[in-house]
Amino acid sequence: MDLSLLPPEIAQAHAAFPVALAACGDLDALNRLKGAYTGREGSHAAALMELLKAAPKEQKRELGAAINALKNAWEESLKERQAELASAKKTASWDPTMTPPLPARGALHPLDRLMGRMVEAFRPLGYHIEEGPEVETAANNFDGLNIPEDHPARGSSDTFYLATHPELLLRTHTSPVQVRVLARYGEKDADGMSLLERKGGLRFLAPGRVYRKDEIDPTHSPMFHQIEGMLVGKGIGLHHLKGTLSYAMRALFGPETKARFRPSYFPFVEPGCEMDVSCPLCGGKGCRVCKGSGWVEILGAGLIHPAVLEHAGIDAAVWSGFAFGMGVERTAMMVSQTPDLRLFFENDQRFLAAMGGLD
Amino acid sequence: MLIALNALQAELDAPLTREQATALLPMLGFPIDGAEEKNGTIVLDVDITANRGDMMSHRGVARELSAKLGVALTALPHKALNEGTPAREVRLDIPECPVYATATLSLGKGATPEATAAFLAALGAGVKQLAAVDASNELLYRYGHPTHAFDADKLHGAITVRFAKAGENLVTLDGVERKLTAEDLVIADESGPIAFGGLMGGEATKVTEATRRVLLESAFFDPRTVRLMARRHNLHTDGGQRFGRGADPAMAKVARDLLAARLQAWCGATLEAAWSVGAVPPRPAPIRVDEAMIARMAGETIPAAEIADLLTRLGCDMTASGAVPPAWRHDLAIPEDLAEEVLRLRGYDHLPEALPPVQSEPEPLSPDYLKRQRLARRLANLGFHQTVTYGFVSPEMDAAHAVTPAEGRTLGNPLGIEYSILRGSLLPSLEATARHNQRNGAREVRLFELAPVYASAGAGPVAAERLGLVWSGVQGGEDPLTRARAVHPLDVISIAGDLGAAACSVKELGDGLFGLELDLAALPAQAERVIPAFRAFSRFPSVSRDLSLLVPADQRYGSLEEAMRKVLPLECSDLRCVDVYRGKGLEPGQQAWLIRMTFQGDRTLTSDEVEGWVKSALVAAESAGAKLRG
Repeated sequence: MDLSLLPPEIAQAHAAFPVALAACGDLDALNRLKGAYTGREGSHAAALMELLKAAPKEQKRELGAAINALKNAWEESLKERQAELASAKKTASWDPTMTPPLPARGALHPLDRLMGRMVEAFRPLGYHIEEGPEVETAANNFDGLNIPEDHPARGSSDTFYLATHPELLLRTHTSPVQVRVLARYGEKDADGMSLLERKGGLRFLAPGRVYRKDEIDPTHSPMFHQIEGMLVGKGIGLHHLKGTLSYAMRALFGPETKARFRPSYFPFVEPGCEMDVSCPLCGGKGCRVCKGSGWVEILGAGLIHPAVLEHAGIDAAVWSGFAFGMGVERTAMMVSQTPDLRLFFENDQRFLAAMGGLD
Repeated sequence: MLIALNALQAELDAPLTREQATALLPMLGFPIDGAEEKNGTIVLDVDITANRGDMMSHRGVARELSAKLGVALTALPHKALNEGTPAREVRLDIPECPVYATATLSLGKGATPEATAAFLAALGAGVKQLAAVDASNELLYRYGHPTHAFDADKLHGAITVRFAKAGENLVTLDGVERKLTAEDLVIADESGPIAFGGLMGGEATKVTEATRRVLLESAFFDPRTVRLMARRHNLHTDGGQRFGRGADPAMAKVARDLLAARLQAWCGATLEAAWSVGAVPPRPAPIRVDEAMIARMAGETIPAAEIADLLTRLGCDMTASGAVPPAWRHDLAIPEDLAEEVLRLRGYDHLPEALPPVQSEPEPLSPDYLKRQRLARRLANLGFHQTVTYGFVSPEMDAAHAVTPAEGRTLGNPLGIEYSILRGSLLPSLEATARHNQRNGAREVRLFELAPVYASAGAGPVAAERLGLVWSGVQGGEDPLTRARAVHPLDVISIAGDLGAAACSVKELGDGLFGLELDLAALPAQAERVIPAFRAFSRFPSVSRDLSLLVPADQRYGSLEEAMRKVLPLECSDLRCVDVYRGKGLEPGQQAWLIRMTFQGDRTLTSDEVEGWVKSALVAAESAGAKLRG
């Protein structure tokens, strides 16, 4: 039918008609709609009749045909719907307790979810994400991190090497990202300024997969995840590391969480430390997970070793900073009490749905 | 490392409780991995960090506690032997062994004392009932200095400490014949090498029950040389660990004296001669004590007197130009090392906490990271489970989907052949994971993984971030409203379209499993604008028209749609096949497609123009092989 002769509000009412019709759930609603479109007074049809009366004589024929077509279409549809509703009324109305369709329900991997939470914990402090390749050079994985040439971790019993490119390995930690980022920030530009000098500092997180030559068992895996963090600035000390990590642990595990720092040793930091948090399961009272101590070890950290800064061309007399690294699986197992590391890589949908969820 | 609490207590000149030991050691940097009681002795498993060879003994652990508690160590039960004329020539040819103390004794009869046997047993060390061997082991665990005893009657002529020569071999105490290299430090007599310096003695000269006379060895060997030898020969011994991390050179003579004294006491041995060659190397130069650095690291000023006190307690000699570290601390070399020691001994708990001053603008999260995060969330919301699988697969798994040869992606030292190739595709791992879920009764399997895959290239494997996805099983049919149906490859294409993939190819993996792999680089990035530019949409009513077409059974839909779209105007906002019918009422070799066209314009469309477009679309469809169904 040709609606071009009709006023736009009528065209719009016509467009809305099918939706309004389908929305009528009972005969009362249908009668109201009927009144609005084809009723004797105040309806769209009535308005059209007024329009026809007022139209010039030579247009009346064409306009009348259009109006009739429209009215007939409405009346026919209303009749059909009335029949539908009448037959539906004979059957029962819908049962809200009936089994509804299942919405699609997938899941993020629990490890991804935990790393995401770490990123969320550090984001308010201005940390961004840096990433590096899994296939690394010994220079980035070891040399740049002050790991001695004869360190056992470099051996083929600890680290995977490529057969055709023995200078390449699968990174054993996320720390080579430190080396790459520091090198980028330490490099002097044409004006003799480094990115670090231009920006005044640096802070980032580096989440990722790492590889070590461990046999697969309930607590070991040849591939696992770490999330690493680093901050470089001026006058940075252990108190800043403590303040930052304590804040992040409260963000991650809840406002009551306490952090404790113990000395430790990693070649790329000095002083080095390990951080325990009050057991997220018992709140520090002592339970099976924390072996009654109230504390669980969560990450290794320390002030960046001057050799690491100098390796990247950064003056350790001017710049200082801290770094930390967390084993993602270890923490995930601890907080979830997952009994076997292999579950994270088996990827049973029942495990993933229960542990990962939609976050 | 196992530490017997009673032996630890014996080294301290003040009482020490188990609770004190287990509370203090972790806060000094040495966590307790476990504790158990063995024959009435409490044995602690203390985790010693790799930099602290000096802590690998009861005396070493006690020394650390004495510094923390400010109490003295007990005096060593040591009486220096009178050195005299060498009974045999000993030559040090290389600086890697600067000092070598020795003695010869003739043995009598006697047994290893019960207390020593109990001490060794508590530490899980064997008791050989050979006085020279048991005494040497006891000294190692108690004081940290490895010693060795040769059967003196099996030695030939002068003893030389030197590097091995090409072609020389040595059968070590474990019965293994080892080919020596020019980097291996050996103890040799005139017959050739008789021991690996610092690592292990030789089979030919070992002490047995028949041994009547022994020659003792108590020396100092260069840590790096010992570490490299241990690694080269995969020979990891208690002695190698201690020399490898750095022993105390000043202990060479003392340990010799203690060993000789034990043999005299345990089995009535008589000393024939004691002598030594070389000299204890001088202590290293003083290290600057940088008070400003210590204050920066601590976040507060630590008084100079307190710093000096802490370093002195650790065994440093304070001089005007700095602190001279004790001979047993090979890990102290730069001012940062001293700063760490000051803070460590003082306790990290004392340090204040503060957020660092903000010194740089934060940076945005990278587009690649955001893309992966959003894809993962989108897919999870579409019903897919994110998986994490190993980055390496078997050659067979890899060959199924990889496009480059495995050669450049092969590990030289894999865990096993099944984990030997850096994968060229995510599909093999996803398929294996899907099969696992199918076997475990999953009605529907929907999995995805975001990870790099590798292509072989000249300079090494080249990584590309991929999305892999697999889907199989039955969806729907678990409620009255949805119909059950098997997953179809078109379902997978629909997901790819949802993610914005321009093109994709679905892989049929068998048994109703379909896979898809997309390069993340080919998927659209996060929109450059926060919200895309406005595009007007029509507010006028749309009109739909259906065409029922008969087409040959082998007709491809894509070509028909393309032909129809070519003739349809811009007002055709959608064209799709809404139903396919095969069977009753159709001639064999035919099918019926219901094609729905939707029209909408920036004005109200007339029925005449719509009918005109439908007619021309029908003509185009007919030219593509379709007929209007009557």
